[in-house]
Amino acid sequence: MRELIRFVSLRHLVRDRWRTLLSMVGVALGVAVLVAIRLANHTAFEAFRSSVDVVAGSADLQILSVDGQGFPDGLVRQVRTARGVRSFAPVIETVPVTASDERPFLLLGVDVFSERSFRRYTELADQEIDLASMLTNEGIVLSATVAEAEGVKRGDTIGVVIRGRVRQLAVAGVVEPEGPASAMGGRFGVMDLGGAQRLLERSGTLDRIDLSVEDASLIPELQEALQERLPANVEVVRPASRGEQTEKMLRAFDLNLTALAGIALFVSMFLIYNTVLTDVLRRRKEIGTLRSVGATPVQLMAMLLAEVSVLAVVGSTFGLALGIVLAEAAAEQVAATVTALYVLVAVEGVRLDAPILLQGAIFGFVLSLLAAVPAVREALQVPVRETMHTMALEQRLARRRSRMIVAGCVVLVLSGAASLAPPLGDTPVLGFGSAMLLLVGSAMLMPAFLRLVAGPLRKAATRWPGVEPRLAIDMMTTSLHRSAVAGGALMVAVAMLIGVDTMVGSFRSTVEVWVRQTIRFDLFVSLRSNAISASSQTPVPAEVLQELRAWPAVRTVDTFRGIRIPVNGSTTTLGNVDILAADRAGRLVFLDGDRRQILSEAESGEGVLVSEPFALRRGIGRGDRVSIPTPEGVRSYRASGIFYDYTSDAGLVLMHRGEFIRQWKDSSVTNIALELVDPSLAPQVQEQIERRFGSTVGLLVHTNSSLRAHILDLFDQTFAITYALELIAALIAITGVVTTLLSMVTERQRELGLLKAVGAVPGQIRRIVLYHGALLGVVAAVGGVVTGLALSTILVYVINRQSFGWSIQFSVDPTILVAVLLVIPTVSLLSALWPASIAVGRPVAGTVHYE
Amino acid sequence: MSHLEVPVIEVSGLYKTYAHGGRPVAALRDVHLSVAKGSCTALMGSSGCGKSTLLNIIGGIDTPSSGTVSIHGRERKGRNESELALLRRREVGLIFQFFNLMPTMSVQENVALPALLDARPSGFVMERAAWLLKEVGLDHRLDHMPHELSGGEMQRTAIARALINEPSVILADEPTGNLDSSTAAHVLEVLLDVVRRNERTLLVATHSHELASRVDRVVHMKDGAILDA
Repeated sequence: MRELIRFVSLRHLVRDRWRTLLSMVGVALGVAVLVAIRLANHTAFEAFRSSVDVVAGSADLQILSVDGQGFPDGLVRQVRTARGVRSFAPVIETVPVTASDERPFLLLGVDVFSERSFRRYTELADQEIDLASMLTNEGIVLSATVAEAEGVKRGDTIGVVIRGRVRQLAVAGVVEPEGPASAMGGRFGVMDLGGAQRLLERSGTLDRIDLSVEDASLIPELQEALQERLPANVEVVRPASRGEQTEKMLRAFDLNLTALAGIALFVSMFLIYNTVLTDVLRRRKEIGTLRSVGATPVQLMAMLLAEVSVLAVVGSTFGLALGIVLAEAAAEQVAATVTALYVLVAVEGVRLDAPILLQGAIFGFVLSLLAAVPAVREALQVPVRETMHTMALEQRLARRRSRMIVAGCVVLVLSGAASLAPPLGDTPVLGFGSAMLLLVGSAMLMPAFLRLVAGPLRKAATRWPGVEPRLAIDMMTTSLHRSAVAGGALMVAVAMLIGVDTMVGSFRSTVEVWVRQTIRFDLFVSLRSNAISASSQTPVPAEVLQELRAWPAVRTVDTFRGIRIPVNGSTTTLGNVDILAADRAGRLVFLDGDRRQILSEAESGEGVLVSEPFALRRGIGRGDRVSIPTPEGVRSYRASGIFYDYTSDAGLVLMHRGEFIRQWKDSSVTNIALELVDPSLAPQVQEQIERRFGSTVGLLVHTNSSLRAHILDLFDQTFAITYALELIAALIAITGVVTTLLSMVTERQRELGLLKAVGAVPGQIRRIVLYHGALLGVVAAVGGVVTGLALSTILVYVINRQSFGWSIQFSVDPTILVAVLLVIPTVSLLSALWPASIAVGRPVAGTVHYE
Repeated sequence: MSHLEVPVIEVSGLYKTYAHGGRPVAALRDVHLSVAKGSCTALMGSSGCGKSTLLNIIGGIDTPSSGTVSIHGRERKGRNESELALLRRREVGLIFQFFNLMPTMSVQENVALPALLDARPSGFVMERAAWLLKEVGLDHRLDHMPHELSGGEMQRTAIARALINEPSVILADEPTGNLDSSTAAHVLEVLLDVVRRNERTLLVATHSHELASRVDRVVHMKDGAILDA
C-alpha cells in the first residue's frame, strides 16, 4: 500500500501540480470562509461575554433592574441583611463617548471601599489612583487604552459626553487594561458611585448590586430568597446568564451567517468531487492496469483517498490560516453589525478558538473525503476490461442518468416539504434543510439539464458559421457528467448569489417602502451617543424638548422613549409614544384589524401595540395578553394591534406615553420628531437646532431624507458581509470550471490534436475550449437563476420569517438576473482562457499516433 | 525521379533531434528527398527509423531541428502555427494508422470536418463528403458513428476525409498497420485507386511489402537517414 502511494499517488500530485494546487485552493477557500465567519462571530460574542464577566468580577450573584432604568439605592439595605451575603458592591453603569473622537467606553460608578472585594485594578507606575480626586472631585480612573488614545495622564482632564453634554473630568489615575479594565476591548473608566450618580443625574439610583456569597452552595437558595424579597422590576441573576441572554438574541444572526458560509464549503465539495472524478477518468488505464495486476478495490480506494487526504489536509491547513486572516476583517464587520442592531461590542483582534479551528479542519477533511468517495466508488465498480477503454465510466454514469433524474426530483420534493415545516424552537432548521436540499436536488438534475439543452443547441449550431460551436457542444456532451459537476458547482454559486441577492433586494425594497410610509416628519432629533448602538437609550435633556415645542417653525412634536425589558425570557424594546401623534406621523402600519379600535384601545393604556417580529417569535396574536415587567410589578396588557416594523428582530412593544409615565414615573424621551410649518425650511431649522444646542448637548439631527438614507446605509452595512461570502463561493466555483476545463483539455488532447492535424488553426482550437467554458457558464447561469429564485422564496418566506419574523414583499430585480446571465458566461469564458492556451500550445505530433 | 518530373515535395538536409532524458537523440539525420507530382512513394524501414517523424514534419505537425521542407516550391520555414494549420488543411491530407476519427461526429461529418474548419458552405461540403464516401464504398454509412464501423471502414472514412479539401499531397502513416490482411488489401486498393483517379501525390510510410510492390517508388530508411534516395 505504501508503495502505491509512494510510486503512484505522490507522483500524480506532483506531476499535476497545477490541478492539485487549484483543488487545494478550493478546499482552502471553503474552509477559510467557514472558519472566518465562525471566528468573527465568536470574537464578537466573546467580546461581549468577557466584558460581562470581567465587569462582574468575583460576584456570585447580581441584582439588576429588568427594564434597564435602575432601582433605588435603598435596596442595598434589604440585600446586605440577607442570610449568606458576604459582601456587596453597588454599581451604576453607562457607555459615554469621549468628546474628542466620540468613541464609546464603559464607565462604572462604584463604591470605592466595597469595590476591592469584587474587582482588582493594576495601577500604572507614576499614575496611581488619586482617591481624594475620585471622592471629592468627580475624578475618573481610565484604562491605559483610553488614556493613550486621548493622550492624557493622571492630573489632566478628559472631555466626556454624558447625557448629551460634554463634561470635563479630572483623570484620577490610569490602570492597566486588565481585569475589569479590559472590558469593551480595554475602553474602560471607573468613578466613585456618588460622583457618577451626580454626573448621570441619577442620584439615589443603582443599575446593579454585585454580591458575593459566604458559601457557594447557598447561591441557589439566596437567589430565590432575594428574588422573593425584592420588587418585581429587579432580578437576581448569576453573571453568566447575562451573556446567555444576549447570545440567545444573537443566535439567529449567527446561524444565518454560518449557514451562508457553509454554502461556500458546499461549493468547494463539488470541486473535490469533480477533481477526483476527473482524476479517475483520466487515470482509468492506470487504474485498470493496477487492477489487472492484482490491486484490490480496497487498496485502490485507499490509494485514491490518500491522494484526496493530501489535498484535504494541505487545503484545510491553508484554509485555517486564511480563515484567521479573513476573520480579522470579518470580526470588525460583524461587531459593527451586532453593535448597530443588538448590543455594544468592541473587538480588539480575533479571538482564536480551538474548537472552531478543529471544526473547520475536520469539516474540510471529512467533507473532502465524503465528496471523493462516490467518484472513487464509481471508478472501482467499472469492470477491469472496461477501464482500459475510454469513456467507460462516463457511459456508466450516463446509464444512471434516469435514476439521477428521479433522485433529483425526489430531493426537490423533500425540499418543498421541508419548507412547509414549522421552526424547531426559534431555529428554522428545516428551512435551512429545505434550502440545502434545493441546491443538492438542482445540482443532481444538472446532467439532465445539460443533455436537454445540448440537443437543440447542437442542431442550432449546424446553422451557425464555423464548426467550433458544434465541436464545443460535442466536447461537453461526451463528458456530460464532469461538465455537469463543474456546471453544478457554478450553478449552486449563482443560485446562492441570486437567492441571497433577491432576498436582500426584496428586504431592502420592503424597508424602503416602510421607511417612506413611516418616516414622514421633517426633522429627527436624538443624542449623538445613542447612534453608537441599538442598546444605547440615553434620554435627550428635557429642556431641549421643552424649547423645541415652543419654536414657531415647529408645527407638531412627536416623541419616542425606548427602554430594554425582558419579555418571555428575551430582551425587547418597550417604546412609549403618543399613540395618536405616532399615527399622525404615519409610523404605524398594521397587519390587520380595525385601525380606529386598535388606536383607541392602545391610547387608553389597556393595550399595547406589538411589532410583527415580536408577535411572530413569541406566537402572539392580536388580542392575546403580553406580560410586561413594570416598576410596580408585572402587568398584563392586551396586544391591541400588530404593526410592521423593521428596526429590530428582537421586537418592539409600543405603549401609550401616558400609561408609561404612570408606571415608570419617567417622562424623558430618547427621540424627537418634528413636523415643520414649512417643510422646505428643514435644512435651516436643522442648522438652527445644531447651533442652539451644539455647544452643550451632543445632538444628532437628521432631515427626513438623511434619516431614510441613514437607515438604508445601516441596512447595507448589515448585509455587506453576505456579499463577500457570495463572491468567495463564486470564486470557488470558477476554480471548479478552470480545473474541469484543464482536465478536459488534457483528456481531449488526442481529439484536439487530431483537429489540429486536419487543419484546425490555433484560433479554432482556442474557440472550441472557450465556447465550452462559455456554454458551461450559460447553462450554470440559467440553472442558477431558476434555482436562485426558488432559493430566494425559501429565504424570504421560510428562513427569514422563522429567524427574524419579518414580512418581506418578494420582489425580483431584473437587472441582477440580466447581469448574472451576462457576467457568469463571460467569467466562465475567461476562466477557459488558460486551458485554451494550454490546448493550443500542445504539440500535435504524438497525440495522433497512439490508440 | 527524372528531370522532367516536377517535384511536389522537396526535403533537403533535414535533421530532427529529440531530447531524451537530457540527452539528444537524432530521429532524422541529413534527409534529402524529392517526391514527384502524381507519384506514389513508399517509405520503408524498421520501427523507429524515422518514417513517421519525416511524414510529421512534411505534414506540418512537427518541426525540424534544421533543414528545409517545401511543398510546391513553398518553403515551410518561418510559417507560424496558423499557417501550418492551413497547410495541413488545404495542401496535405493526412491518414493515420489509428484512423483518428472524431468519436462524437458521424461518418459524413468526420469526412466534412477539414472543409467545415475551412468555413466552406455546409450544404456543399456535406454533399462532397457524401460523394467521397461513395468513392470509398461507404455511402451506406453516412449517418453512422465511428464506433459502429469496422477498422477497414474507419480507415476508408479517414481516406475520404484526407481528400475533402482536394489537397495535392496525401501523407499516410501506416494506413494498413492496424488492419487484418484482407481488410488491409481492400483499404490499399481503395487508397491507391482514389489517389490515382484524383491525380494526387502519395507519400506513405509502411512496413507492408504488398503496399510497396504497388507504388511507383520505394525509399528505404534506417536510423533516421535515407539509404537510397
